[in-house]
Amino acid sequence: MHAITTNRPDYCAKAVEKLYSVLDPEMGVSVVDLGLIEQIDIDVAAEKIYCRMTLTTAFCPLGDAITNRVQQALEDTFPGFTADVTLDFDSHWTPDRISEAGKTILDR
Amino acid sequence: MPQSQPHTPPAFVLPFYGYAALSLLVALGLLWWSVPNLDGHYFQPKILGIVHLMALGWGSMMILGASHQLLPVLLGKTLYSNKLAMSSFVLAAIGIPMLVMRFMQFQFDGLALTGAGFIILAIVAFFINVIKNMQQQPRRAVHVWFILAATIWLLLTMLLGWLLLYNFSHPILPNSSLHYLSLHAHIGLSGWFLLLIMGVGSRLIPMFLISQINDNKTLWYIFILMNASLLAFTCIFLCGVSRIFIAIPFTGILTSMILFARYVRHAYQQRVRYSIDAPMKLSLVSVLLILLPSLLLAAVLLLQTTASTDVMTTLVKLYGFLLFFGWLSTLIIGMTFKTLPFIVWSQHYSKAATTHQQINPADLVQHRTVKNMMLLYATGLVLFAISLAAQTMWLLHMAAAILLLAGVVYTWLVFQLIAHQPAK
Repeated sequence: MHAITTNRPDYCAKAVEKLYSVLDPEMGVSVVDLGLIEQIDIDVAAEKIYCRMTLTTAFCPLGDAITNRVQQALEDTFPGFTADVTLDFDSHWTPDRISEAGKTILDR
Repeated sequence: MPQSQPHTPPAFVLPFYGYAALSLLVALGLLWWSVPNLDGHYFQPKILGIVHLMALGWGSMMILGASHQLLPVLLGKTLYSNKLAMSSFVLAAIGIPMLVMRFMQFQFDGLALTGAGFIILAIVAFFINVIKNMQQQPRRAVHVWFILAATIWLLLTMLLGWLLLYNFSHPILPNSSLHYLSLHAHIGLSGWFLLLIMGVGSRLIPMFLISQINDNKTLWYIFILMNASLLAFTCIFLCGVSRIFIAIPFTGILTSMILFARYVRHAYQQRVRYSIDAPMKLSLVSVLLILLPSLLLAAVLLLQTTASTDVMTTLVKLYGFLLFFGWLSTLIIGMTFKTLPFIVWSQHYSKAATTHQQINPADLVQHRTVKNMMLLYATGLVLFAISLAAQTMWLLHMAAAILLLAGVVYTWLVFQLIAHQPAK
């Protein structure tokens, strides 16, 4: 399972729980199970969430839709907070990042 | 708002898809109408019109539309100019019917030349977009070089085509226009369609299969081999060297196709996604379908001095039919229902983060109708090829009618997708 780095594990757990409901529109697997989420940092005082993620393919045509969904999910989880979602293609996504649950869905 | 991914607005891409679908429908209608003429020589008005409608209105318009969508994905930069994309569409949309209609009337006059001129300008507009887009991004993927080289071959094909048209009424070339038809056809087929499909397919197929294949070395081999073979073919043809040497570029292109098929097989084997939908299956099958016309071309090359004129004419017609209606069309039909739902979906649903959370691109497709349409098309294709080889006219009529019916359903499905509106 791909590990997500964070500065606030308590908040991050809640965020990740919500992000399980954000599905990749093409694959029908959640962004967490696909291993797309790299880092979730939370600045409680400033009410800001910083999410760094990647995509299965750089400049994937569905990129905007996925990042919009992630942003919306994070802001729904923490009302009053604003989420800043950035894409990072420096660390290439590989299928090894997919969780067992994700593989089960893709194997169907 | 999260940072936006580079993309071409659907309004600049969808017209290409709509135009291409209508062209296929008209071409299939013309094919059905022209059945009584199919027992003659291939150089005749109706076949000339149908072939150009298939090559330009159907194949090229669809590929140009998809390329405008794909360039930003390949380069990670927004398309250089949407206006140029629209100009490219408008110019081609005007030029194609002008050219095709004059071909159908067997008139190679000013109107035909003007139509061909419009199409050349459309390709120039696309070429500028490709070049300018490439200049914006120093890190260029191999796939982009395929698109660039294919566009150059298309331009050369069109310029030669224009010259051949002019040569009919004002002889300026050393030989008659008919002499150059094979060169015109093959740099168009291999240089434009095959090269571009290999370049775009090597990116799209792994993307849709979720495959992590990263074999750029093979893609570069294919790129060099294809272009070297096409250059060799052009030189052999123009320098009047014995036709036996055409076996050299033919082998080069065949090797490229085998390498590409191997690349697709690796992508398929390394896929993360196990189940594959019908459009993707059809696209994968079409990679193999290129083998049939290739074998026919080999037969034409081998038998050209020994076979009778009737046999050669039938072989050439079968070769052309299997290339345009078989390989090219099945690939495009398959890819339509992979790419078009994405474009339409991104137009309506990508910004609506929560309201339409459960609607995905695949949900916009009527899968059962698509599958039945594909089966209908495949049936028509096989029957038409058999009856063309056997010269059985009643079966040709029936096969053409089946293909036309499949074309009607295909066009209806495409326009349903283009006109899609989210439920309120």
